[in-house]
Amino acid sequence: MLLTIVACMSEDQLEIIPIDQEIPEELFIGEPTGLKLESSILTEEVRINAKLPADGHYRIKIRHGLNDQLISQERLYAKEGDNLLKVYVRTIETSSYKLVLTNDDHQIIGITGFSKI
Amino acid sequence: MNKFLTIFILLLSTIGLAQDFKIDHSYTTGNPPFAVGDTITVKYEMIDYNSNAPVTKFIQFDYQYNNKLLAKIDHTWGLSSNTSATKSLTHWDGYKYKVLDTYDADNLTDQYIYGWAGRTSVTGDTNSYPTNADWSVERITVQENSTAIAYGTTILNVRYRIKDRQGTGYDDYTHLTDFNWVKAHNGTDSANDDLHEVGWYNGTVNIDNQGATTGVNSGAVTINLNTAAKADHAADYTYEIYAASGVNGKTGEAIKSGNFDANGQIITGASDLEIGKSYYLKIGLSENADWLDDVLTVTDVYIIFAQAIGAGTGPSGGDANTFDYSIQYLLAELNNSGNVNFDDSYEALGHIQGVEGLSEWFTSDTNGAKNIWGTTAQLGVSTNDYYFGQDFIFTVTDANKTFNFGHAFQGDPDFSHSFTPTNTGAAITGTQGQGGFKESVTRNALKDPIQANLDITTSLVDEKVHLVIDLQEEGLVGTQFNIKYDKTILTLDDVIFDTGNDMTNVSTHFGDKSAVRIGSIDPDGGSAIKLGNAYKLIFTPGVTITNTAGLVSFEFTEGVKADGTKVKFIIK
Repeated sequence: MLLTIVACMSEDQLEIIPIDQEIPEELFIGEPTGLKLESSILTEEVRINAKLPADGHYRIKIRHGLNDQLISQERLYAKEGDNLLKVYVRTIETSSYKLVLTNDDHQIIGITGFSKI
Repeated sequence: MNKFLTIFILLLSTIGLAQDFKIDHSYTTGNPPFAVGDTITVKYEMIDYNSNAPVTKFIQFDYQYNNKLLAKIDHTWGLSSNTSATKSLTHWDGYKYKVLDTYDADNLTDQYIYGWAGRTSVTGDTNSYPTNADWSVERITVQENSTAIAYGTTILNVRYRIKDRQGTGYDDYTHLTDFNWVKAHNGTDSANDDLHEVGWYNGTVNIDNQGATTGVNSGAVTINLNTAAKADHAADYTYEIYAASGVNGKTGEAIKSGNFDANGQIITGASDLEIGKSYYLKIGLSENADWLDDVLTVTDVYIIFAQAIGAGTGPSGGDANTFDYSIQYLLAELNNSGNVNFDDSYEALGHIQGVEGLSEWFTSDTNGAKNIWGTTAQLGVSTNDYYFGQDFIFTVTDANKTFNFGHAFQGDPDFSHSFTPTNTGAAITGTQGQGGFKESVTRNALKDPIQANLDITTSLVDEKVHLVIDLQEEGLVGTQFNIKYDKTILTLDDVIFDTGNDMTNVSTHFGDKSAVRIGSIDPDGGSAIKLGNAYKLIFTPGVTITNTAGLVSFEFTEGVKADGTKVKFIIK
């Protein structure tokens, strides 16, 4: 796998974003944008692909699968196209959840479900 | 004309009442009231009620008994003076005599002549014995050739076992038998116009006449749990049912125990409890309940501080009294001192700060559940028998098989996880609960919370994970955030507050649970928490990470305003 690390200055924070990664088949997204999980049944952590329309700030949210309560939220700067990232689920209770990818204004780009066992 | 009419009526009355003897049946078993499963003996005999009874050498009669309530065991003939008499008993199940209502039911001779023997001639009512699965009919025939059948002598004894009426549709044991008809004569004159006129002494056997029969299974009894915590945690509540003792006590081992169901109900089995008995209900929490630290929250802390500051310690309250309900003096009594004062406030504050070595008298994960419960009709209304209205007793009757119990926690004066009293007598005078207009901190805390936006995010900054809580609601005097983090990856480095100068800030790290509790409170409500990035937690990753999704999760958030209004944070 080819990984190139670039440094991006955004506001007051420095973020390291992986680019030009080889996307595994199970995380390939054919559409222009979207969100895909490597597995939908999780115990500790999982790789995800967040395919984005442009460089910018985005949010990855974990919501409860029934009442939509926000359980966890990351705000990150990411690039246009595929972004191989991780979701960590060790701290959340065994249940079913939504994984939601939005722009910084909470507009949904991708959404999928997973279960923590 | 009037004189003639009077004579005619008297004549009719005389004819109607002119019975030659009465037939009787009654239970002879002693020591009522009876219990399900007991055996009773019913004796049948002829009564010379007016000392002028005619000679009777032939008697035939039908009686019936309710086979849902009685199970016949056997019968024994009496007639000790009529050893040569011919006797017969015929039995049918599934029929019940239909009284011919043009004659009195106790006119047993006419019921024989017209109600049974001549029934086919009755227009539109020809069937004297319609089918009826609940009843069994027996026909007794005694024929004597020489010695007359003696009055006051037992003709027949029938033994029955008392059956459980649960599920039969019968509410008691007051009507177990009937006399249907009697044919009696002197042994030779058997024509209908020569029959003896026979009535009954007791029309039915009623074994509840000296107290209701006991041991009747109750059928399904429903007990409803009433508490705010039921929505999320109903199945964590446990119960034990005991036989009641005295006004509000229990005795013996638990009759039944278990957990409330997901609806917060106990539905007993048909034979678990008995009609007419009183039971003691104990309500508790399962050891698996891991949410007890969330019972006493920042709003409770604020309420207890407000009470300590403004109202003194007496249960009668005052102008600055915070409480609306008397039972709050119990729920806010955290150190068992007998008063609600600053000592309780600091116990409460210490709880949300995670201080160790606090009082054992309030609900927490460390202390376990401190349960307060009772019937909803009484809970919160103290009497000599019921401390703060904790009435533990319910009595099952045929009319009442559903009971409501409320549950509260010591340490929960804002009732967030408890039953708010519904008896108006539980409210403190002058409060809205008593029909007054006082706007108290408690009253506001009990209202539906207002919603306020909040932004909580994690980000990767300079190879550190930052959790930032951005407050966007004005007027908050208290906040509480319970946060968990992935300790296999993160180590907590620092907690930074930017809440203003007047706030008491709380930051407790539960390393073993990978949890952090942060928040702020201004106990007297005079200052609001500064808006913006009020809280920042900084973690160091132990491994290389490229993003932070899921590394930190939010378990519980709550805010409170100066007037007690609870704030529910909406995290987009």
